[in-house]
Amino acid sequence: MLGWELPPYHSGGLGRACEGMTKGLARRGASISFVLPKKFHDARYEWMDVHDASTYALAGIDRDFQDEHLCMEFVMRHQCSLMRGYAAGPGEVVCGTCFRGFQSAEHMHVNLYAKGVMEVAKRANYGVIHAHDWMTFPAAVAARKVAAARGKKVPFIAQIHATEIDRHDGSQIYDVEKRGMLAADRIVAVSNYTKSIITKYYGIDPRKISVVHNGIEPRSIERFPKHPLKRRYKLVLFIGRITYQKGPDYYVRLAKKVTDQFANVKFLMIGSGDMQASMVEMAAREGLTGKLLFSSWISDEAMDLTYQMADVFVMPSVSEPFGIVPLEAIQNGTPVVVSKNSGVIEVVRSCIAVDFWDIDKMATAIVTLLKNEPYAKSMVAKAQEEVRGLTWDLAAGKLIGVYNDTVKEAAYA
Amino acid sequence: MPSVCFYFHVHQPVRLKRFSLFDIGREPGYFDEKKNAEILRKVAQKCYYPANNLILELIERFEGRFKVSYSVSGVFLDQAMDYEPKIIESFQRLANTGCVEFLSETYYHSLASLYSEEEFFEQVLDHMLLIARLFGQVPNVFRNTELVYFDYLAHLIKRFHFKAVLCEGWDAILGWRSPNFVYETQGFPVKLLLKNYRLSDDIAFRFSNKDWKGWPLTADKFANWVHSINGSGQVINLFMDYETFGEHQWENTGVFNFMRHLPAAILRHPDVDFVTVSEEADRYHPVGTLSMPYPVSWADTERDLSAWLGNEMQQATIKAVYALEEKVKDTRDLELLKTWRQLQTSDHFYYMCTKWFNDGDVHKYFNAYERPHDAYIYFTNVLVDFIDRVEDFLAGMKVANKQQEAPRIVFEAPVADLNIPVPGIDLPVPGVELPNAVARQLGQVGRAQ
Repeated sequence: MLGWELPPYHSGGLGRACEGMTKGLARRGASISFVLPKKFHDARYEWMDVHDASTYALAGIDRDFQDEHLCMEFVMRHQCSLMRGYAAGPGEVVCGTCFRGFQSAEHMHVNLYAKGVMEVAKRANYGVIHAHDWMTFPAAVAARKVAAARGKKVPFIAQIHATEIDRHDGSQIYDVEKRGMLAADRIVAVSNYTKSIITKYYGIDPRKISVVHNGIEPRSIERFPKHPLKRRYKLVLFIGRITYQKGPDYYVRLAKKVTDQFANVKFLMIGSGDMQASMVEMAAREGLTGKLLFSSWISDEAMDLTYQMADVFVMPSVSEPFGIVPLEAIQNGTPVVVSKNSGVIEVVRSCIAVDFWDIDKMATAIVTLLKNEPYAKSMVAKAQEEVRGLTWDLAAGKLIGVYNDTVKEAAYA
Repeated sequence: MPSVCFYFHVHQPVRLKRFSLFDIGREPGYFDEKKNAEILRKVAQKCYYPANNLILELIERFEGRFKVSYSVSGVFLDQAMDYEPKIIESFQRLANTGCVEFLSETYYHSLASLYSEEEFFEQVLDHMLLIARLFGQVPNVFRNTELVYFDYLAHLIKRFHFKAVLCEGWDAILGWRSPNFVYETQGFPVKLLLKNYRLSDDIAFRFSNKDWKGWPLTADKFANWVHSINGSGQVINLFMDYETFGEHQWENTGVFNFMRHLPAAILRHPDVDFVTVSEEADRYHPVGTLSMPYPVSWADTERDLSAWLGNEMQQATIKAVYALEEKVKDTRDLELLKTWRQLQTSDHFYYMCTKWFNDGDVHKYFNAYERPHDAYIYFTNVLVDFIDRVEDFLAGMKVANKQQEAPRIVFEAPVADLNIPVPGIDLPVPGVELPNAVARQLGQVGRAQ
C-alpha cells in the first residue's frame, strides 16, 4: 500500500483514513506493506510493515542531495506545498527545492518517493498495489512494472480521497491524477459524489470505479467539563484547513448573519491555511471581533474537547469527497450541518445538508438547532446510531472484495 | 543662540500571552509576565543602566550645563517597580541632579486622546501623580503617546496648564517653516516643541547604518551639523526612544561613546547650550501658529496613525476596547479598570500592523508575535474573556444592590452645563488648577522650573 502520511504525523483526513483502513484490512487477514515518504522513528505500526521510502531513495546519492533528505522530513512535518494551506512557520524552510517553486518541488518529492517505492518493491512480494491519491500514482505504476519484470501481473488500484476539482488549486496536479486514473486497473472512490466527479471531470468509465465509503472506529469518548464560554454563549464550530475547498468565507458570512440576530452565539474557526489571514481580516471588517474566534492549531487530544464545546458543527465545504470531521463531531454528540457537496451525506442521513452558498438556509438550520434542543438531541442520537455502523471493518470487507475481483480481472486480461 | 534639547522616551509594553480561545474563562492572567520581566531585565542591562550612568556622568562633569528630559510611561514604571526596582532608583538619582525634567503623558501609553476624553484625562492625571510620587516633580510639558498631536489635543490638555506639547516637525505640516523654532498651537495657546527628525533620526535610526553617507557618525561631525544651524534657528530638538542607546543601536556600534563625547563637542561653540523642555518653552517665544487638524505622529514614513489604526483588525479591536469604558467604570473595581487600561497600550495594536514595506522591518523587529493576525487573535480572545469578567462583576453587583434595596439616584445634568468643546474655540472649562491641587495633595513638591 502506498500512502503519503500516517498518524501521528498527518495533516488531515488522508492519514487517518489510511490508518483505519489498514487496521480493518489487517483484522481481515490481509498482510500489508505500507510505504511512507518518511517514517519517523517514534511512530509504531504493529498491524503492518511500514517502509521508509527516503532511506531507499537517498541511498547512494551524493551529498548534494542531502538537503533533499531534510526536505523529505519537511514534506512530512509541514506538508510543504503538497498539502495546501499548511504554511510553515517563519524560518522553518529547510529545503531549497521548495523555495524554487511549487510545481518543481512537488514533482521532485513525488519522483523521489517513486524511486524509493521501486526499491521496496524489488525486495517485497505483493499481490495488489493499493495507492492513495495522486502523489503515489507514479510510484504505483513503477511498482507494477517491477512486478511485471518478474513476470507477475499485479493490479494497481488507485484510491481517490480528493481531487484537484475539490481542492481547486488550478495546478498541473490534474494531469498526474488523470494519468494515474487511466493507468490504474481499478479506481476506488470514497463516495458516490467523488465517483461522479471522476466520471464527469476525468472522463473515466464509471464501471471502472468502485465506491467504498470511509469508516470511523467506534470508540469510547471521554466527556470533558463544560467550557466556561458556554455559560453565556451558544457555540458554532468549524474545524479544518482554512482553504478554498473548505468554504471558510461562507462560514464567516454565516457568522455575520447569525450573530447579527443573536448576540449570544459565538463562532469558532479552528485550523490554519492559506486563507486564514484573509478570514481574520474579513472578520474584523464585518464587525465580528469577539464574535468569531480563531485558533490556528489544536492537538489531536484536544479534538474531542473542541467538538464537545460546540452546540452545532458546520462543514460548509465547497467540495468534500468524504468528510470525516462531521462524523467525529457526531461521535461527540454534536449535531452537524454539512454542505450538500460532500460524500458524508451518503452515509449519514441524520444531519442537515445545505448548499454551501445558501447562507440564509444554513443560518436557519443553525438557529433551529440552537433553539430547539430536543430536536438537535434526537437528531444527534439517530446520527450516532448511523455512525456506529460505519466501521472500517465494513469498508475493509468491501475493499477485499475489490482486490479479489481486480486480481481475477488482471489474470484474464 | 540655539539651544539643544535632548528628550528621551522610555517605555516597555505589557505583552499579552498567547491566549488561545480555549484559555477563555480558564487562564487567570492575560499578560506574559515571564517574558515581560525577561525583556525588561535584558533591556535594563543593555540600555537603562548604562545609559542612565552615562547621563549622570555627563551631568556631573558639565556641572549643570548638560540637561536632558524624559518621558517615562506608567506601564514601564509599573513593570520596573515589579521586576527591577533598581531602574527606578537609577532614574531617581538622575531626578536629584536638578538637570533632568520629566514629562507628562498617558499612564498606559494609550491612544485615549483619540477615543475618550474622560479616560485620557484620568490617565494623564494618574501618570502625573506617579511621576510626582517617584521623582518629586509635577510635569509641565506634555507628550502624547507616539508624539500624536492634533489641534483638538490642545483643548484636551487645557485643564493641566502645560507650558508646551511635543510634536513631530513634519515637513507636510511645516512647509517652508523650520522645526528649529518654537511655535504655538491653534486655538488654545500652548507652545509646540517640534522634533528635528533629521538630526534625531541620524542618531536613533541611522547611527549604525553603513550605507548611510554620514556613517561613521562622530560627536564632532554631529556637533558641526548642530552648530551650522546657528543663526537660522533657536532650538534643536533631539527627540528619540531611550532604547536607542544599547537596544536599537547596540553598544558595539559605539553609540555610548558617541554620546559621551557629544556634549563637549556641542558646548565647544560658545553660543550653544542645553535646555530641558520647559526651559525651552520659557525662554523662546513662539514665532507662529501651527495647525494640525488631523493627527500627526512620529512613526513610519507616513507620520500618521496607520501603524496602530491602519487596518481593520486594529480599528475593530481598539473600538471594542473603548466600547467597554462605561461598563468597566460602572464596576468601580480597580483591578478590572487597571486591566482594561493595560489593554489600551498602543503596542497591542502596533503588533497587528500589516504594513510590510519600508517600515515593515521595524515592525517585524518590534513584533511580539509571528504574524499580525496572531496578535489580533490573542487580543480578541483576551477581550472576550475580559468582557465576561466585567459582566460577571456587574451581575454580582446587581444581586448585591437588590439585597440592599438601595434607592436609585438619577443624575440629570442640565444641558446648558455640558461643555461641548469645539475645535478652535476656547470654551470656559470649569476646573481646578490641577497641577497646584496635585502639588497640595502631595505636600511641598515644587514644579520643575
